Amino acid sequence: MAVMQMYRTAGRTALWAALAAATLLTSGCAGWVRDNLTQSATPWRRIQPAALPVTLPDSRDFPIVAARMRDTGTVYKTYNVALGNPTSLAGENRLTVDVQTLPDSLFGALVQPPRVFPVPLYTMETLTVTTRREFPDMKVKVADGARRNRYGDYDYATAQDAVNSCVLAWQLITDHKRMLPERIEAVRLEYRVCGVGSDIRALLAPFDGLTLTLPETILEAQDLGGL
Amino acid sequence: MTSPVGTSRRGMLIGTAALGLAAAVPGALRAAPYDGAAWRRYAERFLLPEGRIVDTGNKGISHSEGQGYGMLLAVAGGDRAAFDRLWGWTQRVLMVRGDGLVAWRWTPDGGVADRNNASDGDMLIAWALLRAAETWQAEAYRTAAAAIVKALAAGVLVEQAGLTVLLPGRDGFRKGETLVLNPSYWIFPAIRAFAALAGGERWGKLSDSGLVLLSKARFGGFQLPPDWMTLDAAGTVGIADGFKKQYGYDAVRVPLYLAMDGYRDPYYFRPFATLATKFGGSAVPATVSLPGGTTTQVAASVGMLAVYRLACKLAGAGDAVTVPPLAPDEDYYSTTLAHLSALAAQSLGIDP
Amino acid sequence: MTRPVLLSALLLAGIAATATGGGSAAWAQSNGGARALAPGVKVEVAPAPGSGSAPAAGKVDETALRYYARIGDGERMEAEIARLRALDPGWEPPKDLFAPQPTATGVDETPFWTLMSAGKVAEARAAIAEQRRKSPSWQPSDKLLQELELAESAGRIRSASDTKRWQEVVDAAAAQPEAVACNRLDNAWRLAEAYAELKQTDRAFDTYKTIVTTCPKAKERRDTIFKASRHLSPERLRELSALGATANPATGEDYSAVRSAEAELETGRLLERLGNAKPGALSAADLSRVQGIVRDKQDADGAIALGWYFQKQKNFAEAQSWFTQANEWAPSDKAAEGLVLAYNGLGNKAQARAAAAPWKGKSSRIDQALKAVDPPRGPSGPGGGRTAPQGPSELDRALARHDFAECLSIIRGTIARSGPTAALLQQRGWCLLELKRPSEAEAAFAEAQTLAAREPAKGGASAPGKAGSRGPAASGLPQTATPAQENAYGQAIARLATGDVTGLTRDLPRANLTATQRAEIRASLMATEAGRALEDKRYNDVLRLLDARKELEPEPRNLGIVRGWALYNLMRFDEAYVQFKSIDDRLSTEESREGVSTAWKTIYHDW
Repeated sequence: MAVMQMYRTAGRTALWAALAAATLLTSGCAGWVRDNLTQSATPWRRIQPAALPVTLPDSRDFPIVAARMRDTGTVYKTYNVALGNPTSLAGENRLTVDVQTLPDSLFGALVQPPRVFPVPLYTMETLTVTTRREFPDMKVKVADGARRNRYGDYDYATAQDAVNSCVLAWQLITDHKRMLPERIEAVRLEYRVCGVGSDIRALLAPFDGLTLTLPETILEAQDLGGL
Repeated sequence: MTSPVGTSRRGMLIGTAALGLAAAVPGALRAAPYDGAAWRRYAERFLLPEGRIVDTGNKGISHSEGQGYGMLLAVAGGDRAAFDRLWGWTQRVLMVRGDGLVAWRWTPDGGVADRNNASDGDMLIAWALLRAAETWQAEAYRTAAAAIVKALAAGVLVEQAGLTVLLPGRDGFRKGETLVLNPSYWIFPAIRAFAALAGGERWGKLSDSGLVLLSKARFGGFQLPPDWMTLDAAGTVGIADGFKKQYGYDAVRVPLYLAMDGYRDPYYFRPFATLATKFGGSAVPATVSLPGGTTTQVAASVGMLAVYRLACKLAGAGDAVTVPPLAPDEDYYSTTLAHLSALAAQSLGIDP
Repeated sequence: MTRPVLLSALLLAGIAATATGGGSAAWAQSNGGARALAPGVKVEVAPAPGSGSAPAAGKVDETALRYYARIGDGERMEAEIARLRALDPGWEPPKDLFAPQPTATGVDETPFWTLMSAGKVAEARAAIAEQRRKSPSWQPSDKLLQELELAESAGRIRSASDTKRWQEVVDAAAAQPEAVACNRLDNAWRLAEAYAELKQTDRAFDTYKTIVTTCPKAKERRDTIFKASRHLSPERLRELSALGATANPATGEDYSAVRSAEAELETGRLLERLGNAKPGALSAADLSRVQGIVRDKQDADGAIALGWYFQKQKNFAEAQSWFTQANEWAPSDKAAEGLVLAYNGLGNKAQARAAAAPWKGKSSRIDQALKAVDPPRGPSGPGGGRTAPQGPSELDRALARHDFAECLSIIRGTIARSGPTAALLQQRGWCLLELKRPSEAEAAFAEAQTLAAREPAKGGASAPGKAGSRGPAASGLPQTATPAQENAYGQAIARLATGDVTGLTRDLPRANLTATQRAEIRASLMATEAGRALEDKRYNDVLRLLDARKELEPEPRNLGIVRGWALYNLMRFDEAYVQFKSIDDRLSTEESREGVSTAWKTIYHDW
């Protein structure tokens, strides 16, 4: 008998209940396997911005407010950078960086945790759900063309109301041939920022200008133009 | 570390395969039977004088699987001198672990490159020794085989969820309570031969559990087994992480080994037949991602098509697959599969 | 090609598979007496005697019947007799049904049937393959193969839908239409869900419709409507309920609950919309409808939702009446909070304070709300030039409307004009928390803390706390938080919201908090930890944490659900059922229903 269980949490609850529930939302099926502790995510822990594997250009509107990280198994490290939010809209401005490393040995890696991010990162459906959650009551538009930062092309969506604008940008770096060091399987970036006014380019400036600073060098896309 | 045999094999592009097929004349579609002449051609191409089979598709390395296949084909081809050279090199160079099992991988530059064993290689070698003992009435082969079988039983036969299963190697295939298994390491005819040895009861159970697992490990639209699977403590099977999640170069041997052991239940051959007929029996893809079902641009090799032809016959799908003749530069793995398929068909009394 | 199968024999006497592997294009729409249940499948009445596709008389396959007889499964035996009669009306059950039956080939199928009945389908397959290897001339009976395929298809549908591979669900159902039937309702639901996920809403609707019009049990029809509610529009749900309440009634079944299912869903939807609605977003008809239902059911949570709806519209009188109603039906700090702010909006500060009295110092909500009534600041507060006694400031009114975005704007403006104060920064922290911006909130509280340390200790004229006083009150009365404690408390809540559980646990013993605040934070930490434990499948830990938490605070509904799943996964199914049922009885929601039904099915093996 396959016993698969889903549980969900109530939508509108007291603050306390909502806090308690926050960790539950990510769960899906819970079978009978007991020994999976090494595969689940550690709690978030505070880190100094200097310890982040990413450097953002200085920004008056979007300074780093806090930085956190957690591990999932031995292969994933997730960094969450909370950025300043000059608007009065709900929701944190943030940059999330997931680093997927290759395990050191084949045998050490036989059982890996499930991916912490989906591939493809978004489908039209999941994007709609996400933008509706991130930018409720705003007019959302998915950008027709990709933009380019140091690490290649990325996609983004914009949201606007009378006063503010927001962007959601996402990028998956998997170019092993040229960009990524041997030990890194993939880097996933997601950037969500709201600001006052309608200048989308200004909102994207930090994402356009960020530099990844992992222990092994990640080559930038434009370095490779001549190759 | 390198992944075990099979994961890095490449075939030709589907386009090329289709071209090769168009050149083949209908009526000349029967694969050649396996005989002494076929063995001599095989030995000329893949057996080096020192007694190692060279994997031409994998940078000229050698491995326990190749030695086992070579020894099997040498017995079937009646070439005892070649058999002894193969067995001698295997003992001298690969049996360096001290536990009676065989280091699985050897490279021309580095010698033994990975001391871990690959259970299917050990099994092929032991089974070939048993067949040699029978064919040439030589007790020494039987003694050597029994020692390997005993080491295998001690090192890689384990119980999980009420099933007796085979670890793909002695080290590294357990993670907590979950095991990583390779369905194509169930070499049914070898297992049956081991079960007939004194104290071989656990091998009998291994056969039974193999059939159970092959019934459970069916994924995606074609219901194919994965190259690498997991089995947890509750008996639930899954597709293993850390490997390509696919049906491919490893698992294609599942129907071959079943057929070689005399199984005829169409149920066990249908997934492979379904895949082959879906692609018209010609440009069958070499791998299918699981559970998604994405197929690769790389076409199944001649040897793989020979396996599919066999599977289609046993699944009641008739002559759905046409097997082109082996190319002059056909690689080691494809050629081996083609010959083993012919042997299986011959033993079942059907056209190869 | 007709493939006779075992179905819930009363209604579906036969099923014809017309699919030829063509996939979705072969979908047969309802026509005549046939109903669509799976792509390419028509559910229809038994073929007429002697019609082409029925097996010739005397060739009825009695294998399964004999097997059921031998193991004494009367129910399935009778169903099989009915099925065989439908296939061949001239057929009579054999008289020697219970006698051992030597088979022609000399192979006894009993071991295979036994394995299959025990749910060991793979083992049955293995045993058959082994038998066929040994006796190449033997073939298993068609009936055995069919039952195996059916069991395997059901497994395939289940695993494909569990892993959200929707097209595969549809394909598996098409390959084995018999796997989707009333006696395998779970498969039918999964098929409908798969259509919905594939955006084939019409097919999803048709599948649900077939279920509620053909499956006899009222409970099943009702459950189907709840399942469908996640995928269908209100209009189609209404249609479904009406059909389910009337079509093909079976004797002894009461279908009134089927009709009311739709109304229950409608109320839930309206209340949810009420929560998110901007002023005036609900039509007058909807509003009056939801008011009627809330009154009928004396639903306190619904009344609170209505209260806030009117409060946001600044209709304070109407808001006050609903909050009062809620507080009468079920006194709570949530209801009192609304009441305090509604009275405040009406300018009736005395009433506001009276409403707060039972909770003052015990509930952070109430203490927070009281700040709108009696702003905790000096006589020259930052209220944009006005003085406090003249009525609520702009900021207070924004807070009373729960307009936290406005709160931020006002504070930003005030700080720009006259500089930051500790109180302002603290308020900014609370508003940021409400806007789900906990990282900035934590920073705001920390800043407030720093600023407070520099500000001269000025006793807030009407503030509940005395600035600078430290330590618990000696009297034993509920301790009032100092501004410093409020800041520490705010920071702790912000850290909880960011998931900084480890750090907070470490720092909590040293934090300057009142006993009540500390208990509240501890309870939340334990709830969070319990959630993590559930994710990690440490079910005994879940119970340990929830039990400890329960000593500090009553267990809220969602944690009750968590407790239920922990019990379930510890195989304490009876306790899990009781747990889910007690929650479901108070207020039935999708997750409580799911818990009840899963536990029930497990206990009674009713998958």
